[in-house]
Amino acid sequence: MQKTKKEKKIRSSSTKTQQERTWVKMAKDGSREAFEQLASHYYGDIFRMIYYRTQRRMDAEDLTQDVFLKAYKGLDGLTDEDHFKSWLFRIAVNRVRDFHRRKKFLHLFKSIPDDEVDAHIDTHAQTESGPLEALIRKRFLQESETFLSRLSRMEKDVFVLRFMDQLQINEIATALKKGESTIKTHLYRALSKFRKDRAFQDFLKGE
Amino acid sequence: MNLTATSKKHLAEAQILQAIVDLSDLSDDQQAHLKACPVCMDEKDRLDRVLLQVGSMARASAPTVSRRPVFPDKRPGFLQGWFEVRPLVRIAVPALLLLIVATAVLVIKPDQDKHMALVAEQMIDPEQLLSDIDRLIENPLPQELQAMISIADIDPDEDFMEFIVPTTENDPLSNIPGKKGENIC
Repeated sequence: MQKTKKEKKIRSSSTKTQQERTWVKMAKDGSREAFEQLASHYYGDIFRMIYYRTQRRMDAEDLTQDVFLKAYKGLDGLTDEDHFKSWLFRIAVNRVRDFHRRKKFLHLFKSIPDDEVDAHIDTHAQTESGPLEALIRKRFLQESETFLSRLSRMEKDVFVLRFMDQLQINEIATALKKGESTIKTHLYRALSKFRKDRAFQDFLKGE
Repeated sequence: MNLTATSKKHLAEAQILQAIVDLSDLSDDQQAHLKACPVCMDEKDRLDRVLLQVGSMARASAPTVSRRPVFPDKRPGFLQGWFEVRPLVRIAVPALLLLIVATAVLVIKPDQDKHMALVAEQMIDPEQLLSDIDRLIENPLPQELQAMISIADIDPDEDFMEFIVPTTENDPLSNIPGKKGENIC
């Protein structure tokens, strides 16, 4: 029974990959419809990935649009159709880095209030769900932010891509342009720190 | 599966984390132990569940996307896309071309002049060179200055020369014995 489930999962994943490869090929040949299919498939993932790195919905939406536009224009640069997802994440990672670099540069000339982020999280939490769910979400964002602030940039990138964005090790390696062993080392270090963060773990366990 | 004598020892915390990162990084013995030992497997599963919870909470806590992506009707060509993606290139490329041209004018041209001068030098007739040397010996001044001093060619009369360089014989105040003039000493 378990084996059948697993087989079904593998078959479905293989069909999905084949379908995706076809869309990528069609999009490379100039089909806008094929690219729109790919975009609708990954738009949420990329938006979420960016949202957790910018903490602002408006910025995340702008950057997501930007990432897909860049991907659409630069499709010729994608050599392997099977790596579309990690290629897309690489564009997103670079775009987010650019965004933070520009933000730092702007901070030199004018001050951007830090409470902008928290204010936005409150607004989102209250408008889209009930008060209890909103509270849990807010707590999750706070706890995850506290934990991630203890990690180095690389550990943070790898942890978020692996557990929040649910990418595989090889996909993370492609997205960050690093070797798999480097990714594993940083992930191991991030997990060691995660194990020490009792408060975050207890929150996730619902205690 | 029974645990063998060597794999009875439970996995350490570090090995559990290693198994979460990549199960295949554990040795065969450790993998076999993990498969057979309910305690270690339970430990790994608990951590796996917590980490899965990170993903599902992240999914649930992010706002939903309100905008849909908008794409141009036609995908631009490679170069066009490249220029659009990098607006700085539009400024950098002409600036670079200008720099190359300026370098060519300022650096390459003087070099070329030097080269031409060297060639010309080699082409000088040795006889011509010798005659130039003779001319310089006779009159080292350049032609422009020669015109200015052509007045020196005039033969001055004796009175004038006497006025400029008087002879001691006519000097009335000469105190040299045997010479003309009144000795005042």
